[in-house]
Amino acid sequence: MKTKLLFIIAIFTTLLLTSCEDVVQLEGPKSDSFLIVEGTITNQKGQQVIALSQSQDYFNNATVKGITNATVKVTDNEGKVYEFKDVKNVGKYVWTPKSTTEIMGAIGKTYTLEVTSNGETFRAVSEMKRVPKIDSIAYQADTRENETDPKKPKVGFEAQFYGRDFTGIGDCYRIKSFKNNKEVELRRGGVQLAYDAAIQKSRTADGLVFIIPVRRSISPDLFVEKDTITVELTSITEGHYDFWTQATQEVNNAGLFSRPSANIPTNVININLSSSKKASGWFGTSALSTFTTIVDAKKARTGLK
Amino acid sequence: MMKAFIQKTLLFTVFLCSFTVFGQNPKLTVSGYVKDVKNGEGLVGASVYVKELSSGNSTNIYGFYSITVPAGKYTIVFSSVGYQKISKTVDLSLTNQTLNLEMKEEGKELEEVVVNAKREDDNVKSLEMSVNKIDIKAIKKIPALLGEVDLVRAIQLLPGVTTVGEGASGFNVRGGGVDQNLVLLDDAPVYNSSHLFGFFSVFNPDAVKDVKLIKGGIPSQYGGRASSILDVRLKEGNSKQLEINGGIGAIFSRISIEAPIIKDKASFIVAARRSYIDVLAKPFLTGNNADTQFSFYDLTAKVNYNIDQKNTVFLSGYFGRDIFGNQFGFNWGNTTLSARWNHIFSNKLFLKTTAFYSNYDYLLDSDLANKRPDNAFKWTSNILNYSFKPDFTYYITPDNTLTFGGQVLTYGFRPGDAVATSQGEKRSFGQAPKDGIEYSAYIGDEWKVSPKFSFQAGVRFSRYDFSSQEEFYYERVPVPVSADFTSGYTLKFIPNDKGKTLKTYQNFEPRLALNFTTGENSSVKASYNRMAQYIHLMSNTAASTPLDVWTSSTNNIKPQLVDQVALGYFKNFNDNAYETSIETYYKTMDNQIDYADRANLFLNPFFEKDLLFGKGRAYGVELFVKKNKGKFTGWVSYTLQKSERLIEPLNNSDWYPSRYDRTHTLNVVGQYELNKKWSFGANFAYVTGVPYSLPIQQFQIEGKAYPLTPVGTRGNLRVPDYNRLDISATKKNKKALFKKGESEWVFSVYNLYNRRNPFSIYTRPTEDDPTKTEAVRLSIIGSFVPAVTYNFKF
Repeated sequence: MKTKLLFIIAIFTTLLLTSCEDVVQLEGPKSDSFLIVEGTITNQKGQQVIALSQSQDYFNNATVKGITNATVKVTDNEGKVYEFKDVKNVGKYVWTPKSTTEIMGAIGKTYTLEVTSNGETFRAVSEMKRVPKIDSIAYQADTRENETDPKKPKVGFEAQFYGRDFTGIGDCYRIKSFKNNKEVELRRGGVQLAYDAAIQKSRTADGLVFIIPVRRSISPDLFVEKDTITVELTSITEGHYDFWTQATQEVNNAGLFSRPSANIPTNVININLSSSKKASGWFGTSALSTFTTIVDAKKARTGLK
Repeated sequence: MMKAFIQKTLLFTVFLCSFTVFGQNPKLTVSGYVKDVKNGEGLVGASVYVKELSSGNSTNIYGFYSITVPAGKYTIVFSSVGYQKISKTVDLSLTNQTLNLEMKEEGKELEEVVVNAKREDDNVKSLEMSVNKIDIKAIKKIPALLGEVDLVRAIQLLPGVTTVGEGASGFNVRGGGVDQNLVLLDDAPVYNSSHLFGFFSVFNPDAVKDVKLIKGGIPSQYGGRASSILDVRLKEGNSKQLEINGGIGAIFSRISIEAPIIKDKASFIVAARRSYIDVLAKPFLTGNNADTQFSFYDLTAKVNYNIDQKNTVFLSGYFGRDIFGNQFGFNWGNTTLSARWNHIFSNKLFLKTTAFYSNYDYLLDSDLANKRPDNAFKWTSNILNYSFKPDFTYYITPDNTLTFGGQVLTYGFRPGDAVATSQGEKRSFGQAPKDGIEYSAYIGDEWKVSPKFSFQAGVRFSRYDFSSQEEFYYERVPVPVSADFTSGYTLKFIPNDKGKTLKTYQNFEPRLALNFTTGENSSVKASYNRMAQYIHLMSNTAASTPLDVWTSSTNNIKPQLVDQVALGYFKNFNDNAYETSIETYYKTMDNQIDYADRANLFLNPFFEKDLLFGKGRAYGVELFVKKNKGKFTGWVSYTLQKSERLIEPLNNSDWYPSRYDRTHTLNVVGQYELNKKWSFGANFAYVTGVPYSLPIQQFQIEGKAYPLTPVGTRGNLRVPDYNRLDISATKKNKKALFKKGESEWVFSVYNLYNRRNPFSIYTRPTEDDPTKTEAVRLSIIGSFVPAVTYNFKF
């Protein structure tokens, strides 16, 4: 809500006055590199991946380097250890199930990641949270007259997904949608989050049907006849929600109403707190609900809110 | 603290004793009102000089004066810049006298700019320092953005006044926050002085009589804000004849009507403005955008009635609103209403009693047209005041004036009530309402001890009671810093007896101003003031937004306390044609607020946990040279300043520059009257860029680069310096519409040399490849802005 508001403010300001942006060349400060963890364990079948990379000076636009030769393992709260191997030696550490029925993630379990690299050990802990099922996807005819991207339809269907948040404050979700199995990009980049049934944190959207902005978030662009719409609703921890909120805010922090920059939180810490080698990124755990439908004009609804 | 108070009390006892001593001599008083003959407006600050005694006084903001002298016959000279001097003989041998008079504007070949409606040497002789008065006529001559005469933007050209950037709302005085300015419109506080974020201010120039900005040495009659007082007085309305002013500009059209209701007894003014971008844009808005509302307007009105010689009543009000949006939209605005009764008890005692109401509110609605009531989001917020304040002025002798009075001010804070409706299910949430009452009492004395020395000393006592109508209140409890508790605090719920006072704060605020006359046209002045402020604007953004919430001092949030000392040298040259001054100040600020990482200030009932408290300091030197007379008038102001905060753990618990720390500020304002027809104006501004910080590292996740700013550094770099030149030309026509009255065309160009002044620099992933990063310079006004305005008067 707030970001939408600031967005509107920005638009009006831009409309009225000739504000403008120029890309400028700046010399950024130099500092030590961080170890970056990117990886989310799921309750789905198949491999699980944790990527390690190095951060670099802010204006250094070289390709990011993966961290190789690290040992990576995840232990669940029952003591079971899962080893991750960097098979291709690029910094992508993979756990492969021993059988097709073996699934690593389970709702309610807590997972501890341990990474050892260059003599430093980093640790992150995350619990796999519950996720509600998606009841349905509905769509209705709609137009986007102002669509400027020729690849995106001006006439089609706007879709919404329905589901109900669990009772109990603090369920956090990430929502992705796919058009013909290709992930749909949000209008302003970033990721779509929900806190209980709303987007922003509050104590009052608990246990509701996902509210309109969440429901409609799967359709930044219109779908057309015969498109396959897939919605993925995944549970994340509140820390992970904060991570994405802050990360999104930091890359969109501009204009008249920008905030002082704040650090993007991390759950990865060096077990030697006094070490100068720090880590960032996020080790996440997600349970997943999906729902798929194929757009059929005959089944389109009318009067959807 | 206590010791200082006792000293003050003693000092006052001495004063009061000295009054009684004076009171024993047989003395008589002459008093009355001084007005403008043309429109009946009271003349503020006109000099009333007793020739035989070589002493005098000046009129107050209503044009009232009172002089008490030993019995005898006297010649009294009334003078005011731009008006013909009047000399009157008064026989005060037997009884007190009332002498009302009307002054005539000086007839001039050319219309000179009257920069001050006051005594010519007022800046040297008065006790006021760190004060800028600008006549509205002078403000109207300054080239303005889109040709719109703007009071707040004009103030930003004065020494010691800065802003965080173009388009930012409010202003910063001597290193203080935007919430530290008490903006008064006929005594009622205005909480948001801006239209369209910060581009235009809410004051209609056609309705304003005069403006005074007090940055230091603040007299005891003012209180409640820490850094400055912007006292805006509305016109009373022409009591002689009908007068209509108006203008058609690029943004607004405005009209004001003033007229007598009963000639010389009662009059009114009504002034209205409206923007019309929405009207012009209408044909271009189609489909989803057809309902787009985009406008701002304001209405200012005042009536006054002189019941008799001793009683005058005023009623004035302001109502303004900004509206934006189509289906999703928001609007905000101020409403003020003040009623005033001026009463003369005796020739020596003047009472002004004011009651006012002020409300600032906003609404945010996802469904303006009420098309989907089952799925909507509405958010309202407001701050509401009621107040009653009597102010007495006791004219003891021409050289000694005592002021005293008090105020009761109630605050109702409704920081945010939101209702979210999803499929018909409603949920309400937001921040708990809070209530406060501020009581204050003050006394102050202004005394010209000798021709060489005068002083003004006073003290204000203020008390603030905070209460809540909620069932719970919260107390901050320290916890280890973590991702969820970035400030290191959590909140404990404590059951509350509704309406019970939860916290009381009390402060003595001593005020002192000294004037040592060092020569015919020069003086040295020094001042000290302590100011207590019980309300705080929660704003974490570069420029304050209209949605920022005002909050009360609570059991967790202590009142802001500011101490300021200032020292200045004032000298006039060439028969007061040139005024010059140099002032230096040092200011300390306690209980300043900053915000922990990820602080959420909107609709968050627990926002108090995200606050960080610390202190601030600001110091600087201000130079001011002003030319008041002749064809060429204007001023040069230069400020060298530093404004810093120390708020742990920000910036590794070290001092950091505040967002409005701008080292150098230079403003040059010039106006030239070529002939009766043409006049020209120009102003130039040069300001050091605002501080900002850059991330130090980037990392990539899901194919996008994100910044890392691990040390919480604040303001380690600066945006490039700001500079801008504006010009204007005014062509006066003899006749206005329908061949009556007068009119003028104003042609202006803002940002003449088309400079892209950066507001901020920020970093982002590039659009084409989000794994790459870049730095972007944002300019709010990125080109020159020409405008034409037509003004008329008849």
